[in-house]
Amino acid sequence: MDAHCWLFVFIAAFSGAVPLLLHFLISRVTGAFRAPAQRQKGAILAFLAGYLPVGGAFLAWVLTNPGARGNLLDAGYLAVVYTGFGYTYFHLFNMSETARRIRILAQGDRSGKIGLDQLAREYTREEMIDIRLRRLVALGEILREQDRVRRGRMLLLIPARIVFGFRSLIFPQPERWERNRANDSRRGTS
Amino acid sequence: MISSTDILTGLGLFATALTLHIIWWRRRVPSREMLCLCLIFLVGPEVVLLAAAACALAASPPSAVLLAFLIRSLFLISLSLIYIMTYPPIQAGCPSLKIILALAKAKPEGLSVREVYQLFPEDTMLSERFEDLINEGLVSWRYDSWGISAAGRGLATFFRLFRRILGMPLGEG
Repeated sequence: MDAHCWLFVFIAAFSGAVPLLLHFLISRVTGAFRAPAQRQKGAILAFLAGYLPVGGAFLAWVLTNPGARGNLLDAGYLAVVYTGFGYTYFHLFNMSETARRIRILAQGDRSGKIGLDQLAREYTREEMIDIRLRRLVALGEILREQDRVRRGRMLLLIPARIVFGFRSLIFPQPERWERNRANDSRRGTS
Repeated sequence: MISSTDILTGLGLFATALTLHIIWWRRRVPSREMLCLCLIFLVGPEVVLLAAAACALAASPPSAVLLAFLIRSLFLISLSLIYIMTYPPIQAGCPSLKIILALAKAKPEGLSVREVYQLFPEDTMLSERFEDLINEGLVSWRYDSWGISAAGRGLATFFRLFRRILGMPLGEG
């Protein structure tokens, strides 16, 4: 019984590696979803497909131990743990794909220093937004017709409302927060 | 195997951490936000779980105590990671999600690309993220130019290796 319990914990802990393994297989072995506009789809697919092996491992865990009963709480626990790890993986990938901060760091790592003026010239507001529009079009979230954008599937509308709802809860006075933060960063340089 | 106590312990500690985080941030946002978030959501609750495990050792065999600790830790870590990974778009006001919200409010014919550009102030899109990097200690001023710190280099290396495993260059940002 004890070994059985340890096996369950191992399955839960190892589930954290499943999205990376699947994404590796999708990207490296099949070569799919490697075009810039398709990459996020690959990460979402790896996350969602991970429910199959994790669910399969849980089923095998239940079936190979007739003395033990896998109940709904066990299944629910494993589902929450995997969802947490899978979601984390997706966001980690997203950061490497879309985060402005990572792009600045990568530039600094390559050239040894960060030329802010050069960065601002190479990475303009228009370019930042065009990149995001291309990704949203590729995900089917929006539709683009020449110089207009319209609603597409808008599956991201609920996450957007949650994110911006939390933003107004945590930063009730964004102007004050922005000022404090700018002061903090100036203090860091003086 | 999993008891309702395991679930409730994880949920309770997560809810406590979230409440503490909201109260703290509404009073004053710390300069090293990610570090403080990790302290609140990961280190603090894990210390509580460790203390509870140490107390339980008097009444239960060590293997049972360790098993219960791991089960609760995994649950708590997965909940906390969900919030920690959601925090950067909350803090930065994710531009892609801002576009989605603007389109939801717009008329069915949508927005022109120029109107989308105007949702974002020209001078802050890059500079605010750069200030984040300074505040997190990932970038610093050296002699006559900005350079990345050891922590910043470590993070950049991690992402470069991660993308190499997947066979992809770093994203466009």
